[in-house]
Amino acid sequence: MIKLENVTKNYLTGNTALEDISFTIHPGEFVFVVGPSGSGKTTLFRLLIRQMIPSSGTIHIGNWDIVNLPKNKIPHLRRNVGVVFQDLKLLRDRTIFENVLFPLELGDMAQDEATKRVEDILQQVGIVEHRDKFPVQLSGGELQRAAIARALAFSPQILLADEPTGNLDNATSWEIVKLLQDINAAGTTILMATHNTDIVNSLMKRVLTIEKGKLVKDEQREKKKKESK
Amino acid sequence: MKAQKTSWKHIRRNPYQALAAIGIMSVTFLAITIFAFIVFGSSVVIKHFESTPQVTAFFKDEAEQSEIDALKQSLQQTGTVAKMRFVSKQEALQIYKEQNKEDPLLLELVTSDILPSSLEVSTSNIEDLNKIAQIMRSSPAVLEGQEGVIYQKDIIERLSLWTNAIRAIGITIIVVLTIVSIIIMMTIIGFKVSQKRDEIEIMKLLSATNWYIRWPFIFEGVFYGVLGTIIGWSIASAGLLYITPYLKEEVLGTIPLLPVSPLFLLGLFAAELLIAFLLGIMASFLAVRRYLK
Repeated sequence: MIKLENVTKNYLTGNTALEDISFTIHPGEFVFVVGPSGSGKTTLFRLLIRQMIPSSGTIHIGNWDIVNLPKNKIPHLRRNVGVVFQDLKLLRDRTIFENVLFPLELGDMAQDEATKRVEDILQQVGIVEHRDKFPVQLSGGELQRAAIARALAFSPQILLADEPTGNLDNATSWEIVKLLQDINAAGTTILMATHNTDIVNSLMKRVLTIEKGKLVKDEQREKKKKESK
Repeated sequence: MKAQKTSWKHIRRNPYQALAAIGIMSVTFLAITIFAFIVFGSSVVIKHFESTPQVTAFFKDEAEQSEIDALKQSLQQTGTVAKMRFVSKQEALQIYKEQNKEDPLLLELVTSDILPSSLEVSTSNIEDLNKIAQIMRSSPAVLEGQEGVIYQKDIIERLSLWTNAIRAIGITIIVVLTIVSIIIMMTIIGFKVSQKRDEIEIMKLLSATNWYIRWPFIFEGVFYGVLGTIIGWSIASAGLLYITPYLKEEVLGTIPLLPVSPLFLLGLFAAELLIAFLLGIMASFLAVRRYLK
């Protein structure tokens, strides 16, 4: 469970990125976070992985109090919350296989087990044939899949995807969303930031709308669809 | 193991930076080894001079044994005598023969009659030499004038002065070189860290601990330090072994300094390795620190 209560984030420049945000996301949910550029979506994700701490308010993920999490526990948090970054953050001098293996190298997983795990994930996201290529040799969609594969390395309970369809054509975007739906169907909670209204409107999932740092709408579209029937 | 592999990759990818780091560490440890030799050598030389007879009194031919015994007794009573040895006329002749064995003409000219018997006295403390010399001069058995009592106080004092100066200069140079090498290592490793800034950020976001990020750079620093030590120490030790025969024959004479004990050389190597370890760790740690805040 992800629970934010009255979270505000002010930057030193005086800008307010998020203001008095509160919501709860239950295990297994698929939630879209929408809003214009600069509305605070990425800041929200950064707060969730303790890349920064809020100016006020509380954040809980499961039993973890994110705001008061000791520094030495941050790596543990990040092994349980997978992130697909907006700029992907793949290591350019490592192959796709090595990129996906990388988080596992940080853990205590045995080499054989880690190798098997990476092969399974690459199979799952559909880029196993590109395992020995470097990021520069892959297309946008393949890179997104590689980033998702890496985020899944630790089998996280929560997956944060920051604009995973941002630079992709429509068909590839849908492939990525389908992949995320499959991952969600397997039990992973997904929080996806996006601008793509087609996808948001078609999937009829819960949508958090953030504008100018404020949560202006929290709607469960799936329910609405059922109610309208 | 993984950290060592990563640091080896860092080194192979930037061979010139690695060469610069190894070069500066080699020069530092070459200087440290050379000055360690000098400091150790000068200590042995000083000790040698201090342990050899420092004051020698030559007796008149007509000196009575009782007068000599009385002098011995009064010298002992000062409590400053470390060693005292009476050299008879016959013994003096033997010493003379030994020193001039390659010159038969000189040996023929001298008999034990013309060589005076003497008393050689060494003290633990150079400062006590004056007192000993005064007591000797006051004895009726000792030859009068400057040649009656000779001592090496001036030589030792001057030698001590030089040794202390060399030691001070050596330590200053070593400290300066050490500081400079830390700064250069920090700059080189810091440059590498800054090149990997993005990678470090990604590592942190993917749950890498600070130590996971730090270790490869620490190994790299230690590698430069250790290789620098091996090179610096080897050059200095090989140089010392090479000039040992010359120093022994032409410079040191009877001073028992060379050849230097292998144990000393190995002990010095171990100490330098320890310093290199600490230096490498410190420089790398400081270089990485700002990127891990």
